[in-house]
Amino acid sequence: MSEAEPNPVDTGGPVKGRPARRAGTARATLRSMLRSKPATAGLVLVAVHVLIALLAPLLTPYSPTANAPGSALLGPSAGHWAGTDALGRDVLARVLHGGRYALTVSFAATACAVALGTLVGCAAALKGGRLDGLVMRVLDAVLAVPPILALLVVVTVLGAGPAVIVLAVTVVYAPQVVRVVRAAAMGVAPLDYVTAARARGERTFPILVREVLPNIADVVSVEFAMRASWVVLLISSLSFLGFGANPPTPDWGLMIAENRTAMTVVPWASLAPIVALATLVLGLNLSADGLAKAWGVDRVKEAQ
Amino acid sequence: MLTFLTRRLLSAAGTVLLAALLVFAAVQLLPGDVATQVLGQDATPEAVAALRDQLDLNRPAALRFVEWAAGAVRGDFGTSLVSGEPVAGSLWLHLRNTLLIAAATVAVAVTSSIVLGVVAGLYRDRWPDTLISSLTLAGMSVPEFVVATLLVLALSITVPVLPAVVLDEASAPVGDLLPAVVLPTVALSVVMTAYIVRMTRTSVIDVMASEFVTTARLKGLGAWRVVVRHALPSALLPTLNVIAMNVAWLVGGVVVVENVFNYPGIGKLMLEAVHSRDLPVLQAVAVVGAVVYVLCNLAADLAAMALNPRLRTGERSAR
Amino acid sequence: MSAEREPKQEAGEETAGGAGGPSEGRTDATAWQGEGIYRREVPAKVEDLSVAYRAGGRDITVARNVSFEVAAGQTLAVVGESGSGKSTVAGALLGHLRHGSRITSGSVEVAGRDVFSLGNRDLKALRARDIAMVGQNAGNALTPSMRVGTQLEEALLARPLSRADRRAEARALLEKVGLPEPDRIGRRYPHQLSGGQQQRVAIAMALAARPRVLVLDEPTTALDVVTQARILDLVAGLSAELGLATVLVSHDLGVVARMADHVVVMREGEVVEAAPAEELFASPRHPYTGRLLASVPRVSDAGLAEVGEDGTRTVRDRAPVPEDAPDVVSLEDVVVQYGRSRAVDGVSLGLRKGEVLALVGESGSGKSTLAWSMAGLRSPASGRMRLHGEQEGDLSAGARRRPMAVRRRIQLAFQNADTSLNPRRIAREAVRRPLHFFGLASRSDADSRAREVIEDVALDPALSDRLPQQLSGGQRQRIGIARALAGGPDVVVADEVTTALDVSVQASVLALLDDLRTERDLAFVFISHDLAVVRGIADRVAVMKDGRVVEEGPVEAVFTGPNHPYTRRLLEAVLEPAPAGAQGAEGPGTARDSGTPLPGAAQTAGAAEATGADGAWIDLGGGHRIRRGGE
Repeated sequence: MSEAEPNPVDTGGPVKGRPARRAGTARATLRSMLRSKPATAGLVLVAVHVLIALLAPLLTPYSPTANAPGSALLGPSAGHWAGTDALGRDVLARVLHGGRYALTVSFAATACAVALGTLVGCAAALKGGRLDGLVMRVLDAVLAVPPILALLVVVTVLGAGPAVIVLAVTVVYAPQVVRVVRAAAMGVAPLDYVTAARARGERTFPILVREVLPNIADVVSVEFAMRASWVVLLISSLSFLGFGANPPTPDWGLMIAENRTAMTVVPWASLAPIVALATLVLGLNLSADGLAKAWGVDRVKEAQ
Repeated sequence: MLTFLTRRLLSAAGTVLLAALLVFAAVQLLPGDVATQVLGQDATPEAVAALRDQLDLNRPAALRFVEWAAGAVRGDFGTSLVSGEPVAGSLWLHLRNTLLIAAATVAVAVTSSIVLGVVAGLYRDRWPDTLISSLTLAGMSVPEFVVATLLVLALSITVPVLPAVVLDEASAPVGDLLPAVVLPTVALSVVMTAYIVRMTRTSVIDVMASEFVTTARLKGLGAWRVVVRHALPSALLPTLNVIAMNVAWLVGGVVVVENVFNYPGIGKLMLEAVHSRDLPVLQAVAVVGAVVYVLCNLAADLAAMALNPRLRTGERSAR
Repeated sequence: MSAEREPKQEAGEETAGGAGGPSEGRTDATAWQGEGIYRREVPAKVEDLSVAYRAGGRDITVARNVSFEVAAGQTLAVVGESGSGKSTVAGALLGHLRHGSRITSGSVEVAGRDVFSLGNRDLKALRARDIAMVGQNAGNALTPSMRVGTQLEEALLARPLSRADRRAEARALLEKVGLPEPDRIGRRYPHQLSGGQQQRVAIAMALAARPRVLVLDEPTTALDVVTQARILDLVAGLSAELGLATVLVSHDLGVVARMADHVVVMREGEVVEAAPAEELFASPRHPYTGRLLASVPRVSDAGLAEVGEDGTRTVRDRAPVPEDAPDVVSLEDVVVQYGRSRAVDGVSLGLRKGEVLALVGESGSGKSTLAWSMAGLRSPASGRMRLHGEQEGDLSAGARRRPMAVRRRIQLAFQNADTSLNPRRIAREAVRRPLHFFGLASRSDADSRAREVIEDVALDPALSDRLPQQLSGGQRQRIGIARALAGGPDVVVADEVTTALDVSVQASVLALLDDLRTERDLAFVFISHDLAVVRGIADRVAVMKDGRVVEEGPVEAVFTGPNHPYTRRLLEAVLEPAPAGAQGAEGPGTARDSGTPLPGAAQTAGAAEATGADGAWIDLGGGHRIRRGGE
């Protein structure tokens, strides 16, 4: 019994003071997110990164891949704001371009993992029984192999192209999405409006689309934002180890690996990509938190 | 309870077996001929044939898996393609070294994160919470290799107190490795703590708002007693799962961090195997990772049983 | 501490002496010796209390200028529907406000101290010694990871007792609240106790501190009727014995009538009426109180009660089901399994056109399982379940395997208005979908047809543009009923449809169901645990226990007896909104006192032999039959 919100007596008349709120869910969410400073900061950070990645060639006169042995290992100056690396490439140019690989591969991989995970998770929750049991068994096994190890195995066998990485990340992360989505769908499945649809004899797919998905859309979106931050981290780790982007592709993880040894000489060659990577992930994290708060999804618990 | 334990153990064994099958399938059944992949495109047909022989590739995959699995159970993971020696020998050595880091990390991260998480949860929205939550967010936003790199910059280069790179062999005595354990442990702990703190905080906030904690308060009990005796056991339950999940991440994080410090652990072994396409080693490491993960989950379940009498006494609730 | 309190307890008994209500135990000779040490201090006093919380930049008042006081040995009930602010007041007595709420005026005084001016330490001491609370759901109020005995001993920490004394005292408390084998119970964890046992432990815990004031917040709402009656007896006995000042918060006027000396009626945060219980129930002064009282269904009503604006109450005549009404559903020996256990164990029932058949029983009796099985959500393991009429159909098939024409003729309505509608779709969509799905309306006119159906359930179709959370509980429940009607069913299975509603809303929904039945010749399977509601709406009643029907018959016959002992227990546990002292003409005793005297079990068996019934059943004629044994 909710004492906080007085329950109007059933007069059949309109409920006072509550304007009908239809559609506009997206706008309402955005407004609610923008009310929180951290969430706004997160959205701005992500937006800036996306813009930079799109506009990188316009922002810097240097090519991110052209070697210039003559100007190797320079410190920050008016010409090279963040200095140059061991091959004389402009660090700033490489950092500005570096988001392209990370963002595209991460976005594609996250989208695939979340889509696949949502589908399987909903199916397992609604169908239940043996299918559910089987799916959960296989997922447990996939989850048991630590993500990086699994990724390394796949990359060893198939090579390190972007397509392979998207595929591998999908395989590695989809099970975790399945878990979360399945739990959310299981929360919705026994509710009376789903039962009503089942009593009408509706098929599983229409029930999924009409009754279940709209009610777990919030969980799925938060899951997407959260996974995205993890995937960015994972892919940068992979690049750092030398299995992601192939040199001379500008990529933050790769840059950190390349310039780590020269850290004492040109610290900015490592620090600049670190800052770029950290701000992107921070932005994603803040956005995920904001989204979760706006929708009342418990992000931390969903992560289990 | 015994039946529960037996069931749980059996299911753990099943998970490991299934994971091993998946790894085996990924390594051996993915498109392309394994021998050609290992040797490269320009290998002579004779060399390929010899390797196929060595790898037993001419026999059915199912049979090979059964034999491999049977060997693995006895601790025989086959022979390394690179060194020609049994995989198990170097595997155990590297595993020992990695466990040094992992155990230290788990100890540091779990204690500090539970303390910080409880503090943040109890002081919700006040300055200790704001501080801890901000640090947590920062920790989550930085990959472990960055933390490791920055630590090297600070503690090995700027103020050289700890080794930046380990030069010891995998077989070095534990005592020699100890100084090298510090930095990797710190790097991994920072990231791991961040995740667990968040869970603990949320869970503490939830439990503190629960009816039974309110009841305990309304009984007029002291704050310390309410938190420690009433709230904590329930608050730590969901945290346990997150800790177990994080251990899976830890095994991955170890690979990256060991690479930064050149630490002779299982991560380095794996990277070398990837570079040299040493499939038996790769397989063995992946399976060991799965075993570690499953064992951690088992431990988490047992700890949950200790904290939750409902699990201990079975589900025969009167309600 | 305890020595100081002794006289006050006696003083309490003194004041209680004159009050009506359950006074067994208070007429103790010692009560009258208190004359000389009479204390004026009032154990609990609320003065001009207002509580508000901030939301969206403005204050929302939850309680406004509430005043009352409770004398020792007295029970004061705070009554109201949801949103009346009654629970806020209960919390305020212990100095506990919900997160974000604050006091905007007034004060709360407990044992002579202003609760909200106390520091942390003093507040803790107050809670440890002078006031205690028992909440609605003891299952949530007991710490799951601690043994019950330990929690009880903890409540004794405030008293200077040795460890062994605490243990002994805890044991004594468990014994006092009527728990068998206190040693064993003390070693258990909360989840190993039943709901009733948990509530007893919670009461023991509240009494441990020997408080002067006991706050009971809906103490029996989560319990079955029979357990409820026992817990109420226990509390009444204990507060009389210990001279407690009791504040009982409840929405259930029956409970209030059974317990209270004084009643405070709240509505939307304000006190609308405060009066001695007898006076209030006999002649309510405020029209709201009158309407509230009149809305409560009673087992003595021969039909549905209709309540006028001014609180007058007329009982609607029950439209009789014609003798020749054909069967629409027949069940024969139906068994439904849940895993290895039989939730429904060999039930045979018939339902005629235009008839309301009530399935009655406590939780776990299998009544809901049976209903869901009819609706096609769980196939029976054995037995026959058929739909009759122009379209014959086998109901033992799951919904998906029934032909469309059969499927739409048996529909389900749900208990919980909060979860019965998809929160992301406008309300009309819930009605539109089945219309379209069953092919009763094309895509283009489904919308206008949906509006018509919504109008049929006496709801403004304009409201159906809203999302469910923008509707009140009663409005949502009407939409839920409209959804069930959309398919044009012959049978509606209504699963506790009015249980979660406030009494006034419940009355209007019941009237709607009754109208629908007479207008459309609909048959209802009406599931309820509330016998008073059943008496008003049902034509026939089937009482279920442990998956079996133990008694079945026309509603009059079942309510006047003779009965199966289990039915009788249920009937005796019903609490009517009339004070315990005034149980003459109407009240809880009605069912028992009026009509045929209840025969004992042996007599029932004797009657059976006289009528020569077959084996398991005693046939009393007129379709009334009682199962032998099963108690």
